[in-house]
Amino acid sequence: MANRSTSQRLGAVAAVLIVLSAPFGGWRSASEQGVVPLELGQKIDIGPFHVTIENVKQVTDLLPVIEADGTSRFLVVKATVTNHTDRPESADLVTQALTGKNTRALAFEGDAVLRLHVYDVNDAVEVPRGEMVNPGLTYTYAFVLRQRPDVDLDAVTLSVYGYQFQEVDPQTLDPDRWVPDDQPLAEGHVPIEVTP
Amino acid sequence: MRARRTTTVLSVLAAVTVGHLIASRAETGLGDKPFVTSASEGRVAHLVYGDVEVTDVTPAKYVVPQVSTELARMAGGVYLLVSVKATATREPTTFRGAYLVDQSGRQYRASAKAECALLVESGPGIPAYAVYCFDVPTDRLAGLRLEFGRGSLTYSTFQGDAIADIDLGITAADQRSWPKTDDAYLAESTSLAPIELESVTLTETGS
Repeated sequence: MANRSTSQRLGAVAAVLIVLSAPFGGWRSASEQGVVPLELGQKIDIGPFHVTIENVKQVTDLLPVIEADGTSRFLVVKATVTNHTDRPESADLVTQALTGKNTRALAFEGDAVLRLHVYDVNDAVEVPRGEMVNPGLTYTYAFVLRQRPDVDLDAVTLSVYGYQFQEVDPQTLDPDRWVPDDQPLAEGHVPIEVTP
Repeated sequence: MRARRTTTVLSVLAAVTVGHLIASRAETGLGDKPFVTSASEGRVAHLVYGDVEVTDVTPAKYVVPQVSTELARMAGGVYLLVSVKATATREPTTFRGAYLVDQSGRQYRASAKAECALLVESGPGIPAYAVYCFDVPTDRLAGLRLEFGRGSLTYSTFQGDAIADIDLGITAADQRSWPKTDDAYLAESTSLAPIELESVTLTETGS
């Protein structure tokens, strides 16, 4: 080490720092975790929550919360959601972890942007944005997407993304935040039951 | 010459790191523990800026919105309806922080879906009343405490402030019996008059 150049020494220090950061996630990248095929009943740890998609249905209404409008279809992803951390976590983290391709999505009437509407299956009440899920609690949610009627359901793929915990954001100094991964934990086509 | 440059670079890096650590702790206050005044249900906790008292703790399965056409909210675990009387003593005060804490230190926040109180405001010497609805796992009820204070607008912390730490008096026997409740109460938020919980009989919707 004594005969090494400064750049070699700095390189060695950097290598040591990377190894030391391994227990805190520095060694891990999303690409190394790999994307697994999405399946119904698969328990996925997205970081703050365990998420299990129970079934996916396409319906023309979802009474008592959504009435048929004559043309739209509604893709309903029913999933159990458990906060397995030791603090309250935002239900929005689950909503934002779910994405899809070839969904032919439409914004709900009254919405300025395209977004999922989320309902608690057990009481049919819409989960307000910003709702916090307390640690240890499990809910069954229906994540509902409005679709065009000509959607090809065989082409629809769903993705579930995960998060990495960041104790302090070095840019904003915000503490204890979840940073979304660049690529999904699980992705694929799952059977979609059509209810006319 | 090269060794001196290396030393300079490392010194700058060390200074930046230490500066960042100090700045982050100063900004967030995460390292500052709150000043705790302990109390129990029915006893007033006197803080430097206000008095706080838990006047009632009631378990429920459902909380029903004031608007009669809206559906009842069902707890994932069991709702704890915690009635609080807060009185500012120095200046108009907003009590933003209200969290339950269990015996393992886990924190629980009030449900927004239940449409009960999330904060309460009080003028000096004027008591304000609030009912917070916490949805809590059924196996974590015994020994729950309410941490209550001014809180932070940005973070879920008390940032070194004075807070009340109030034992709700929930026993192991309560933990066994309360999860069996099917009780429903009208959602209450805040008031300048004491709040009496109103029991509600649920009716099924047609669909």
